[in-house]
Amino acid sequence: MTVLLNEIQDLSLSNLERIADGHEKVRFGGPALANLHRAHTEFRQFVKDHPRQFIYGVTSDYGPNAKRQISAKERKRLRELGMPFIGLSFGDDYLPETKVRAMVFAILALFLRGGAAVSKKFAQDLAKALDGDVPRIPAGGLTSPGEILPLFYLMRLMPNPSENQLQASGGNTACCSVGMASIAAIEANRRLIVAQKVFALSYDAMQAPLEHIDPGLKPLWGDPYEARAIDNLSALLKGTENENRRPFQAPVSYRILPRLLGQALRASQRLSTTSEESLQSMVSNPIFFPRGSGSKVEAISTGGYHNSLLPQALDGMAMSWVDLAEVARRHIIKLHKGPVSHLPDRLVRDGDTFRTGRTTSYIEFVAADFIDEMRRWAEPSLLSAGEPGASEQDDINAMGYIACRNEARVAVLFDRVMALLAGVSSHALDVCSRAVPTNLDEFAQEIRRDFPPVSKKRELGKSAEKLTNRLTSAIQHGDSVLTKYIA
Amino acid sequence: MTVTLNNRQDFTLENLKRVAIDGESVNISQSAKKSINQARKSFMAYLNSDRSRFIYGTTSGAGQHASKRLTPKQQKEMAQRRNLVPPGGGFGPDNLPERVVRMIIFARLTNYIEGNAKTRSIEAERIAQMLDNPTPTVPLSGQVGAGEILPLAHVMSHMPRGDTEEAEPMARINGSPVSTAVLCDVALATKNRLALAYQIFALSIEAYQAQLAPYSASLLRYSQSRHEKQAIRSLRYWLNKASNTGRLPYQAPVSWRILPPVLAAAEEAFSTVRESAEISLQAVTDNPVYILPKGSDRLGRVISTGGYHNAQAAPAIDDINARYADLCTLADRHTMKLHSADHLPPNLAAPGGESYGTAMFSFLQIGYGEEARLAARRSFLPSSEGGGIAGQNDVASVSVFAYQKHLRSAFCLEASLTLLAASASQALWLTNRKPAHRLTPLLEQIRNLVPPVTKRTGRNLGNELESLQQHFEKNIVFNR
Repeated sequence: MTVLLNEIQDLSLSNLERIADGHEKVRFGGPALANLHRAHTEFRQFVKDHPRQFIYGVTSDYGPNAKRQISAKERKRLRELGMPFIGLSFGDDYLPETKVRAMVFAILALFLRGGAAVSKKFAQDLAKALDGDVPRIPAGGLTSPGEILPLFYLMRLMPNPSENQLQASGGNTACCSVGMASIAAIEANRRLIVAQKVFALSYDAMQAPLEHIDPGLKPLWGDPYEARAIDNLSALLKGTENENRRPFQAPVSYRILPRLLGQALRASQRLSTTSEESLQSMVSNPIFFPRGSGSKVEAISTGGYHNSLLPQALDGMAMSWVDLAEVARRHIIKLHKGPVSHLPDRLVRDGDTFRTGRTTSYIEFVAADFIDEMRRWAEPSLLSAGEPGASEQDDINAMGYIACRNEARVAVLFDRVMALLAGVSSHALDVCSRAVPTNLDEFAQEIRRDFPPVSKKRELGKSAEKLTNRLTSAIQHGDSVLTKYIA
Repeated sequence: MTVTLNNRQDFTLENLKRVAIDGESVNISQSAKKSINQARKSFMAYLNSDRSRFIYGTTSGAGQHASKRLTPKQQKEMAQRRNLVPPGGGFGPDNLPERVVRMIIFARLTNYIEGNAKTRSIEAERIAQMLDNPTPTVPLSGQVGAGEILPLAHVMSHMPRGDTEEAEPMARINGSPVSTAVLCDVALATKNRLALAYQIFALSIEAYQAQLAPYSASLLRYSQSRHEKQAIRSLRYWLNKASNTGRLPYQAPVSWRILPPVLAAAEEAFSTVRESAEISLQAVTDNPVYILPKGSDRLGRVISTGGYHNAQAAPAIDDINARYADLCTLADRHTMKLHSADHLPPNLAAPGGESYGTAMFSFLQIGYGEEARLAARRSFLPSSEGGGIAGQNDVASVSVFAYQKHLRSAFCLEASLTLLAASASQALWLTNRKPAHRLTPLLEQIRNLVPPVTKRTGRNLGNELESLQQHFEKNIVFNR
């Protein structure tokens, strides 16, 4: 299939995913091409009519030389020189192809609205470039004022600069953070589906009283996200046995689940909304407003390459992963603590002891390592205090890439903690010979494929690792019962 | 004046301001008292229908004794015995501001006003009466525990004396009114603090003679984000009718051009904290909570919940702290650039004055920025299970901890903006320029407390800057 771009609504997270992860083709539709042509023509006329007006990189030189005006002749000469840098970054691994493709989609989003004033051919060529391989971008050393460091690699996909016609911008925009954050938003949504299922499994394993998720709480708390968490947990636990549950309230870590999951749902929604709005508001420096798009026809310098809303949304998501992981750790410990859980102490089978290895006991230690690391990565992505460049111009870094990188790392660590809680909860239910609630049955079967209940000694770390990898893969690609939407 | 409370709809930020900042009293209306007493009656019928049923803190022990069931006699005795909340155990050098303690008392009443706290109306009246008495002192430190029992003990131990019956002692100290209060305080102050930030950054745009293009109305039409639009609109408001002549013929440094996106993130954080404050103010968060009778359900029901844990508060306050740190960074950069720009007098030194001019303002920014960044660290759920004896109270609420950092963060932003304001004022004075007309009152306030600097001899600039910061703070906290 091919994704056709014509209007702003086409700049959606679902289309981005089709192109970035599904490797579908992308093309500009007829109306879009007409608009592109009009914007490009208007821009060329605008520059002709305003030869003395400052238009960064068009009537001026770049970066540290921004204050130097250039003539049309000089512009041509500089264009023929092309970009002075091929690539400056290094370290760590390379960014996943999905994320690089998402960045390119974000540049196409900029083109679609006409602000870059590129020619039809230029835009079409970049779209077609996604039919093939994309450049490999090192995952280290990518933060700068704006997002030019990853752009140096992406520019390899663009037509030869010397052949370019006059345009406002080839992509000096927040394409890296918008593309990567959009992928993070899609994954966060699925990760949260998995998390709710895992916590529901733990809730049932603990036999926590259902009153903690009573729908009567929704109007009392008055928060739409907490209400959704209550609905989701209730749906997942539908049909579970209401008799013989704990005769008194469960530990705080169970009772506050709807409120914590509600906050995570809020964070996930915020990330989705911010990503999609950013995709639909791509601004470059400079940006041209052709007739009908701005308050007047103008070409202006902006800070459009700097997106501050996305780091905030990503940081919020990362914080929720940490808090949920912390609560998951409590669950893992409590499930093993017989006097608290009222389950067999250390989740051993009848007449057994943990020394036989036929239990998940001691695996509760493992989460601490992951959570400690998560806490460090989840500190906020603040504007860095240091001046990054050797010029007066480029004095503040954009934090989008750092926020994306950090959230992604926290998220993968979170999957490990979820795998541990899922394995332990499934084992707890098995030890007590209790059936899994109907709506969780399919999910639990998938969990047990990689992490079966422990009936004989085995390397549990391997089980947890296999399950983690499957959870992460399901979250990245979607098509799995693990991430199936909660009805 | 007195704020009259009829139901949960009356728990608004406006009413909270009247009580906490303007010092008004609270009156529980007759209709509210009737609702509360009706709820109490049905709750007692529910309790008496089966006194062996688990009702946390009423038919059972509390905290680590939750699993222990009490006989009807023990239930009555415990309720009568606990008619006084013991004073809290937290201590430390700083206290919650008095206004925040009044907010806690006001927010405490939400659980009561429609009867969900399952008490008699006299209990709500006693709480309201606390607003007419001296405000209790609540230490800022030592308030991180499961639920909000720790800070509430400091407040509710000052409740007027009186008898208590079943379920009433637990209702006094459960729920999450402290989170609500700190959220509300942050929301109210951030609104004014952001308004100040817009003005001072607009003044900095003027002082630097930066191009106005990055704040163009075209971007308003183009952006899909209401927060970006709000940021651009606010900057444009203060730059209204700003002169276009004499501005730089090329783009200003990044730190000026990215004002809209950075302020947009602050707007979004503010919008979140305000929404959370409004939701929390009207939320019934008691544990256990009484769900009122409805239809064929004659007696209602009591359920145990995690209402006492407000999961929105710390993340929302943390975001504000982070954005304050970012604004400090921008203010630092602007201050530095104003003192080193090619097109302005070096060091913003006056002719005939010391050559280093006001460059010290730029030095000073570093410390406030570093402090702000420290205060912006995340308030994660603590790893410690302190207090989780017997496995019950195993996760602590961190709202007060986030707020504690916020107070520092807020001061740092005010200090940083003060330094930028004084620098911008100096640059305009030295170049004999006037800012956009809406900025004139601000400039007058700045110059009233920190006059332009010709010579530093005989002047204590530290004192002058502090007086300007305090002037800003007073307007932020008390300006309605």
